[in-house]
Amino acid sequence: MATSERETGDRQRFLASIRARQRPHGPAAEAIASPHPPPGPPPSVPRVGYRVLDGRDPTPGSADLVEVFVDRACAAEATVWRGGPRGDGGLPDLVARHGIVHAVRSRDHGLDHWADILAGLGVRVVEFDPRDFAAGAALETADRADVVSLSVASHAMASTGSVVVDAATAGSRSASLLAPVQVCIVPVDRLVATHAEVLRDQRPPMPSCRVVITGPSRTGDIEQRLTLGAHGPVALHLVVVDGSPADGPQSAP
Amino acid sequence: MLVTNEGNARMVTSQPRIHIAVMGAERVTEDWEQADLLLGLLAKSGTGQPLSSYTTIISGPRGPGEVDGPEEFHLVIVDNGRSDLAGGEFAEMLDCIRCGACLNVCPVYRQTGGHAYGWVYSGPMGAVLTPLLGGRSGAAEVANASTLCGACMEVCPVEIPLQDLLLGLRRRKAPDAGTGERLAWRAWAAAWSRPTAFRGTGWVTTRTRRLAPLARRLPGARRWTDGRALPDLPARTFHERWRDGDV
Repeated sequence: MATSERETGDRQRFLASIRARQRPHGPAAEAIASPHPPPGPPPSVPRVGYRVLDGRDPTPGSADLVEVFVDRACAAEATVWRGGPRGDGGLPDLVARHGIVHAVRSRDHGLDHWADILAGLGVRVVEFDPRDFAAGAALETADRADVVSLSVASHAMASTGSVVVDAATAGSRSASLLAPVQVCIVPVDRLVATHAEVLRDQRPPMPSCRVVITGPSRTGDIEQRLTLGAHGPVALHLVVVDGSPADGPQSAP
Repeated sequence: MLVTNEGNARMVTSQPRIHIAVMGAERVTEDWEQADLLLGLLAKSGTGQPLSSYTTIISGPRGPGEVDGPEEFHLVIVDNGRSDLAGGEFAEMLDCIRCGACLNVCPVYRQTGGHAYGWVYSGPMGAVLTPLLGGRSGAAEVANASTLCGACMEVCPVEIPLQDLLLGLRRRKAPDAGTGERLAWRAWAAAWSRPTAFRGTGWVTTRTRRLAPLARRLPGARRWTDGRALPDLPARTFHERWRDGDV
């Protein structure tokens, strides 16, 4: 990035003018004191940094995190399967329901078991090749109507039923967006209570792109009716791998 | 940080070769703790969702090992008068997170829609921000597009005193009023601050109601009367009907 002397001078002047406004002296300081100081929460409510836990958010480390996650994810119109690492992930049903013929995946070995299940169902699984940038067969495949994308969540948040996908580990920014059915594997040890625990902990080096995904793509702009699958997947399927014996689809209680 | 439900932000930040992001200068938080706090307020206040479907956090062009993403990433930070507001009477308007809660509750916005505000920002926050940034010609008028009911101030998640800011803008503009406008305001205040005069104007209006359509012929009236139907004026004022026991 070229930095000329003129650019540096302009930048310094601009920043200096903002700094000068931030610290007014004399009568101006009283003038901008807010007439509306925000009322704090009642002292009996426990506080965690900025957040005020009101009993509805799950407490970090609580035993019912998975239940809350399942409940909130289903409320956001995702489907959830929960079971062991050797289970079928609800994939046979998903493939049949959506007529899946192709799948795209990254090289993450956490996906191997689930990719094998898809292959066993006759689905053609295409792996990303980072050397094959932008014109890749994988992205062309992802752009079809009968394809499912496979990725592993880097985090999951119970309070909103969300998963986090990093472009670096997922191998692609758009594959999980282009494919009409998105499957996301959620290892239970990556499940936390709220998005505060994920977002506030970020520090460099940051992935080039990180997405917090809550349910499938949606819009209410069309005839004021909620429509799923606008510029993204019409279905989001979450596979919660916690080794629980209840190997099967989950729904909101 | 980009927030969408449709996935359109993910689409445009992954497919093209060059990504240009445009951002207002006030849209910078100090740390992730602040950003997380504001993110938690945004969707809840605007659409009632805990989070929107996609929150995209972009830190640059595509990274190594990724098969897609832009090769170049450019961020344009737009000032356009925003830094002038810092430290001043209207500084709190810079806190706006564009959630839309104020639009959702505003009775004026509900009737007129967004285009009536004439620029990028509509609703109560637009009525404050458009005059401050000098939007288009006539931008200062937008601060009058309010009944000062205060609903916006009540729901604002970052507690911007919108009502106070609107009054401040009107106060700022008041010295520019022409003689005709001042006389009109004074006449109206004189008529309606005395019970007798107030009832008198009501009496005159009801007794001359058959002449009301002539108002369309007044100079300058067409801009208001075109496209509007005159209200049905009653034969007697409410005061008279109440006094006579008819209501």
